[in-house]
Amino acid sequence: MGYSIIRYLRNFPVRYYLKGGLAQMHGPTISLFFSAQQSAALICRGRRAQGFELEVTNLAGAPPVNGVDSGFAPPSRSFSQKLLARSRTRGVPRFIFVPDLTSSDLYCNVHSVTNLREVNVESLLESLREDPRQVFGSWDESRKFRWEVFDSQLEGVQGAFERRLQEVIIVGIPADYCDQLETWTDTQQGTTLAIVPLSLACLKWFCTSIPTGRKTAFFVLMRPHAVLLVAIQNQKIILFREYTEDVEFAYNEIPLLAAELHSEEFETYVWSAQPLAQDVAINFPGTELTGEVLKQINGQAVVIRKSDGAKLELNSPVPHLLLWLENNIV
Amino acid sequence: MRYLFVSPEKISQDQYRHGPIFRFAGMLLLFGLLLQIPLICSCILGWKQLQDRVVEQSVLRTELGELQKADNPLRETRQKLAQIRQWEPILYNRIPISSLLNAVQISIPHNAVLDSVSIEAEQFDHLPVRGGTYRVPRDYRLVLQGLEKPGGGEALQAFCDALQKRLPTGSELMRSERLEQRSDGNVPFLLQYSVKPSGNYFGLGLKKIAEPDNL
Repeated sequence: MGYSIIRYLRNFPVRYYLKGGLAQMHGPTISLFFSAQQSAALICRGRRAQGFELEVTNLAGAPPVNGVDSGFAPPSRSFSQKLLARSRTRGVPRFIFVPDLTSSDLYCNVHSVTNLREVNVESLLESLREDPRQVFGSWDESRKFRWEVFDSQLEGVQGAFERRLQEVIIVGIPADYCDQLETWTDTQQGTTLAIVPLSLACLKWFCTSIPTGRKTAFFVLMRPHAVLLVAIQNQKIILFREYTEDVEFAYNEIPLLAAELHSEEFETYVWSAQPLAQDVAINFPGTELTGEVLKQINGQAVVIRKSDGAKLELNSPVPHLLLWLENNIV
Repeated sequence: MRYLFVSPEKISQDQYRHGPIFRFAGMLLLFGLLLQIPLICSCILGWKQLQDRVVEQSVLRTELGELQKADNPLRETRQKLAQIRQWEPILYNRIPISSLLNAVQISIPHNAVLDSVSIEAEQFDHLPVRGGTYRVPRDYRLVLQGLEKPGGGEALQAFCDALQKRLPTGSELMRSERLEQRSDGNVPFLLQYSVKPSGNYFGLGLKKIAEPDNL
């Protein structure tokens, strides 16, 4: 990212500075999670949760949800103002978007470095931007995508590929949807901090927060439209599988994959934005990452202090994920 | 994960707003701009004053033009007045001889007889007037010769005093001689005055005109 004085003067944020942004050290952050069925917003200031709202996509001027046609609704600044007012916070907001993207809108896969023609990350990204078919042959998507490259622990990588780096994870999401979110952020007079697909956010949280040791861990991400199954060994992601079939099918795959990976001992973790159906919770083995489990993993519940002074403790997966993401990004 | 899938323009926008270096630069810029405000204000005030002066000047110029237009018919009158004023020192310094004679006449006592009265103008100034110069005297010599009758007492002295009172301010008695008594008892005398023109000749017996003529 190259900066220059001329570019700075051209884009001099005089309105932001004059509104008090110059003296404001910690502006509010609004982390927005939205899928086709659920949406939520966590408002933070200085790493502390100030408010949590559900079903924010029903509010006027809500951000666009990928794959959902909300009709013509002119975006208005009242959306973020309303959220900030409800959480008794003021200032110019910064947004973190956590969209739950469908299979067709999210490319996420593990690639062996030896199979790539490119010798460094920059040329790999350039090839992906030019034409993804240069990197992976079977690509029939006509839309433009934005791409990112990570190592197997979901850390960003730069420069030449090292020998020890055997695998990279390539993630791509539609550029037009990113543009929509950025344009919406402009209408809120805020700035975009990150657009993190739900799968990526959950995986990063899992790799960072849950020490799996030398055991193989299977992370099952339950989404309304699909189930994502990820195999993790030594805190490294080694396999992605996405199942559009029912949950049972995905669960039946786990022992087979464990056998392929020569893992006699394995653990299964389940993350779902909504509470699991009772039959799924009873019949399938694994640790559901919610409630007290999340409280133990993260050390504490998400605490919101209400206007009357009462404390509200949240232990559902979404607020925990959003708070962790906010603390990591900001 | 910061700036994940965010376009470079938006990243720079966030940096410009929240980056410490850019905030510091912004603070310096705004402070510098703030310092310019008094300068800009003084420039605006100066410009406004200049505009006011230009407007005032144009108004005055218009007034001057109107006055000059109104002055044109008065130019001839002013010339005539200037010519008249040229005569002012001439008229001022000319003593009306008849009034001087009148002063002598009303001052002389009963027991004194005048033989001769001589008035001469002296010490001329040359004052320019239209068409040449005019000689204006600065001094008049008044010589009176006469006889004092016998038994007149202090008649000559009374005559001198009375005349001195009537003559213009600054006039002096230059010579006063009493000659030898003649056989018939009369005593001849000679008085010489230096009469200075002062412009005020009311003492000589002139009277003010009640209503001066309008020019």
